Order: sequence, then C-alpha cells, then structure tokens
Amino acid sequence: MTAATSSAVTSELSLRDLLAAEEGLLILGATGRQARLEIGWLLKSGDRVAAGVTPGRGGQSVEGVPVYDSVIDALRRHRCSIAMNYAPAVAAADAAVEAFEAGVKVVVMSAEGVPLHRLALAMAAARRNHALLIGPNSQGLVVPGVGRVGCPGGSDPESRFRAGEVAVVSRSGGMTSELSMLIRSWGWGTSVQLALGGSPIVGTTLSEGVVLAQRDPSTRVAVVFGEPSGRQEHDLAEAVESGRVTVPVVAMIAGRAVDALPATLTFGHAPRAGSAGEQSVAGKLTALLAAGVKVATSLDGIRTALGELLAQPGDSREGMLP
Amino acid sequence: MIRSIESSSLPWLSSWGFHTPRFVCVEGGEQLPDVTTDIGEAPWVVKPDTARGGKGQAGLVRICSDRSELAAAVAELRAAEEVGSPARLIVQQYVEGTECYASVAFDETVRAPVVRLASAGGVGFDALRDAASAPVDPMLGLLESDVNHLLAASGIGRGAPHSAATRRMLHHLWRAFSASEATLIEINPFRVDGETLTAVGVALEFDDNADEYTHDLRPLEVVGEERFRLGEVTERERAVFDINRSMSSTPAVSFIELPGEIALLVSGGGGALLCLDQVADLGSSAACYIDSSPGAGPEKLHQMLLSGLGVPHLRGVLFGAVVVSLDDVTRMTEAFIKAVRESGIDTRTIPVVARIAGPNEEEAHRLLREHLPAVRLLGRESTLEDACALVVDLVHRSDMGASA
Repeated sequence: MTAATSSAVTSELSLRDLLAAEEGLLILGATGRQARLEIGWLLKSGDRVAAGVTPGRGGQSVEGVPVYDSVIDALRRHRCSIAMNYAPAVAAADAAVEAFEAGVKVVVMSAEGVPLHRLALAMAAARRNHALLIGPNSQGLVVPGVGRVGCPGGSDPESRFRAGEVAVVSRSGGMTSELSMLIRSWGWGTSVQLALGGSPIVGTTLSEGVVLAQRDPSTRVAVVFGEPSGRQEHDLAEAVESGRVTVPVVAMIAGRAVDALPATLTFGHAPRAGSAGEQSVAGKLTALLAAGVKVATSLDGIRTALGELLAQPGDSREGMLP
Repeated sequence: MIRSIESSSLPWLSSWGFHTPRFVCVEGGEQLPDVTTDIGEAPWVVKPDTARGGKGQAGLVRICSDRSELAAAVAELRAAEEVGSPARLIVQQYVEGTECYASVAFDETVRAPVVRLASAGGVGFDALRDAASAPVDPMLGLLESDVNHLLAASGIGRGAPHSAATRRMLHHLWRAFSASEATLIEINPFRVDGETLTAVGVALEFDDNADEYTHDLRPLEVVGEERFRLGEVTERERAVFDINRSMSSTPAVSFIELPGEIALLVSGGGGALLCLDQVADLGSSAACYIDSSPGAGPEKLHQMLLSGLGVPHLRGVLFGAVVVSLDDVTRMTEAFIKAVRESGIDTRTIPVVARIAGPNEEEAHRLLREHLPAVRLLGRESTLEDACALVVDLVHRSDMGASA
C-alpha cells in the first residue's frame, strides 16, 4: 500500500514564498493562554500576525491583533494563507478543517493529544483542498530571514537562528531548535526549519518534510532527526533511494539504547510496535545507510558530516531573523 | 493507548453483532469452576486474561481435552511471569473450523483507517504482508466498493459459504471502530464453520484522547499501560502513574525506571533519547527516562523528578533539557530544587550536572547557584552531549576516588 502523500507536498508549494507574500499569520484559537504568549513573542520579534479566530470571541483583540468568530470572517478582511493553530486538543482538528475549507494553504497544529478520528478528518480535508497540515504537536516552522510560524526559538529567535544552507527536519520540537542553534554555532545557517510533531500519525512526515525543504533554493543539505516509533525513517530511506529526495541527507535517529528494552515501554513521543528488525532503531539506521544517507550517532557526527558535504563553513550568512 | 482485556473484549464484540465463543474467568488461586456447565463439553482453550496480543506466539495458549489437562494448564499458566499476579485466566469454548483474519486500524503511512481481510489467519500470520487492504476515507466511511474489493482480493468472494457473513462482519467492524473511536480492532483468528464466523482471538485498542462520550461505547474493563495492572512496576513508577490519574486534566508526565546508575532528568522526548544513547556510548547507563510537556503543572513535575532521584543505587544525576522554546525554565528548576531537598540527595557526594537554557534562563541559573551550589551548571554554550560527558566523567572519577 502506498503512502497518501499530501498533494501540497507533491505540488510546487514553497514555504519561503508563502511566508514572504503573507500579510501576516492567521492564529486559530487566538485567545488561549499559549496563543496569547506566543502572539506577543511573534510581534516582538517582527513576525507579522494578521488576525486571530476564536468562536464566540469575535470583536476582541490580542496584543492589538483583531479576533474573529470564524476563519471565513477573518479571510474577508485579511489575506492569509498560513495558520498557526493553538486550539486545544479537542477542538484543534475541527479548527484545521474549517481553515482548509476556507482556503488556507498551510496549517501548523500545536496541540498534543488530538483525538485520532478527528485528526483523520483534518488530514482528509487537507488532501481534498491540496493543502498542508504540519503536526499535531508541532512547535512550528522557521525560514530565517523571512519569518516563522509558531515560536521555535521562543522569545529570542535572533539568538538561535541564522539564514543559511542547512534544512532541519525533525520529529522532536525541542531538538529542531537545538540543532539550528548548533548549526549556527558551527558557522553555517538554516534554510528551513520544520518541527513535524511527535504524534504517532502526523500531517507531514519526515520524507515529505525533506521534499518541502529541498524545494527551498537555499537548501544544500538536510539534517533529519528521527525517533524509535513508527516507520517514517524507512519511508525517508525509500524516498532517497527512489530519487524523490535529491538533497544530501544527514540523519540522526535518537534512541539506539532503547532497542534493548521491552517494546511495551514508550520512549519519545509515540509507542513502538516492536524493538527488533525493521521496527528497531538499528533497523532504521541500516535502511538509511543502505539508501546513501549519512548517519550520525552524535551531534559531533552531524557537524563532521555537514563539513564533508558543505566543504566550506558559513558561505551563506544573510543575517538573523527576521 | 487504552486496551481491553479479553474477558471484556468478547462480550463487547458480541454487542456489535459478532459471534463469539462462550467463556468463563478463573481468578487468583480460586477453584476451577464447573466448566462443562458453564461453556459446554471439552475441548477448551485456556489463556491469560490480559490485553496483550500475541499470546499464541508467546506459548501462552493451551488446548485441553479433559478436566485434568485443564487443571494442569491452569496451574502452569498461573506460574507464568507474563500472566501477572494475581493471575487471571480465561477458559473458552474451543471452536472448530478453518481460520481467517480481519482488522481495522489507523495506518501511519496512509494516515487513514485501513481495513484488512484475509482467508488465512492464526498464530504467526503477517497481516501487513498477506492480507488484502482498503484505506477508508473517514469522511465517507466504509463503502460497498471497499467491501467488494476486500472480498475479491482476499479470495472470500462470491461462492464462498461465508461470503455474506464476512460482508456483514466488515460493516460491524467499521461501525464498532468509528463509534467507539477505537484505534485497532483485530480479530485473529475467526474460526469459519460453514456460514458462521466466530471471533476467537481479539485485540482492541482505543484512543486515550477520544471524546468522553465514546467511553460508554467501550468494553467494561480497559487498561492503560498494562504493566501497572500486572504489578510489573516500581513504587516510584506507581507514584507517577497515580498523580497522572488523580490530576488528569493537565498533560501527563512520563517516568520509566531503568537498571542503570545515572538519573537522566532531561525533558523533551528527543533530547532525553539523545542522552540515553550518549550515556550508553560513554560506558555508563541510565537509571530512568522522563518526559513532560508545558502545562503539566508543578505537582506532576515534582513527583516525576522525585521518583527519578529516588531510584536505588543512584551514582549521578543529569538535569536539564533541550534549549526550551515554549516554557519558562524556572518552573522546572524550582521543581528540581524542591525534589532534591525532599529526596535527601547530597549533591556534594553524588555528582549533579544541570544544563539549562531557554526563556528566563538567567533566573534559573541564579536559583540553582543559590540553593544547590555543588551542582555543575552548564548553559546554552554546552550541548546535551557535553552534559552527558561531564556527568559520566564525574561518576567515573568518584569511582576512582573511592577505590583510592
């Protein structure tokens, strides 16, 4: 059975172009605690926020950003194609469906623990509308020098990211920013940073994330961070082997040590189906190596691999966010 | 993931229109009931009444042809480690017939529910490889065209005596799956006798995060992590489990005890896994694994850290996180300071390394310096791997100091 690749990934959608053309982000669930905090951080760091949506709160504002009752209401007055979704877990999938049906092209979903049957409806809505869902449980995405969706980098993205040539695509939100910060400290910069979310089923997978990132004209290498559960890393190996992924990939799959522990224990963000053969971290590393991916078992290993692939450090330093 | 134990799964399937065998439960050390009266003449099947699948493959299923064989099988299974304590077994009517397989589950690759059907099944059957499959659009539900495809592709098409029963069963399967917000219903095997399909082996899983109204549509007895029900946990794991259960409105925290020497109190799932690997690569081993999300609240953080610091024979502690983006790092730091004091850990004799970076990190560093001055403090200029290397080195040095 083949993967149901999002048509937004197979089309020519460019995160950099979308972000650059945006009047500002649309914030779903704009009046909640985390949304209020992050809207403040976004505005402070110069990222544009056009409008918010919370049903029943139309007419209010958050940090000066107008709030509407529905996505349709917001889009009548603002030109937004990207939404950051802070709606709580029980409402997050329905909020995404509403946004896709109204014509939003990219929705990044922050909530953890979204009911799966609801999430499946949001994924179906994304496919039907040729749109892209990132998450759930995603911190967001960053195109340094252009903007960000959500708040990777927290309140001070200027100290974490620099525009450059390395795409960072990760199943772990925290490690996404950690890797970008290290890459900056090693003398390179980030083209696109994507935190895909650690849920068992996600809107955008590792291989799709790399395909999106390689479309960015700045990307010369992709650094990928994987985890023990699921088979996204095997799908990535197949995408490299089949030629769908053309950019060189450096991969780190954390959790080698848990192969020796019972599969009934959940490490990372999602349960493992097993701890042997294909289902093990060792099995994933073997598949990636066989596909020609450079596999690193330490952060220093990532640095060495990047050094080999990029030859000269820091040949692209357009500046910091935004 | 919430699972159902077998003695609850069978009546639940029956309530959705499936044909199931009669059974009786045997709990603890109680006397064997009059099985013949309860479920009919031998042969009988006896197996653990747990939620875990793969019992046949694990050698935990016995077929007994008389009462003495049954008594011996019950005694043997009661002693098996996998059955837990007190032992709960299920004695089931043996059903004759050939075997087939059906399931519905969310598929990570397709990112939609997938229904699978095969004309074979039983112990060792590989459904991913050998069953016909049909992804289902959740907006449309299971269509007749999906059912027709499954029947044709599995070879249970027109002419097979159980073709009509299989068609009905697939609709029951989908109805039960979608109404109860299950994540897996697997029947392996069905026993096929003429036109009748009897579900004799079943695995059920439900979404922990599903709407509350679906809970009434689930089996009577469901379990989260079954190792807690089977008594396979430590008192520190039990304490974290209990606080998660008593404060269920905020995100749960994770704590897994491991047989190592360094407490890895590193939050952020990916970062914690990185540290597990690094500590192992450096020749040491982790005593625990933790994870927490923003919003878990101070009580849960405190219990999680206290459990980590309470692991016996601890020889070092690594506290910290990936560079935090979305939370104030003083929250975790305050919980850590409180847990260290309560645990009685002497940070002058047990090496503690802290790597803290993120919003409000200066204040977090100040708190640690003021309250736990012996802690070796690292900032964002150091990686998590640097922190792992330092704590392993300090533990090894303390070994050398002790041996000198």
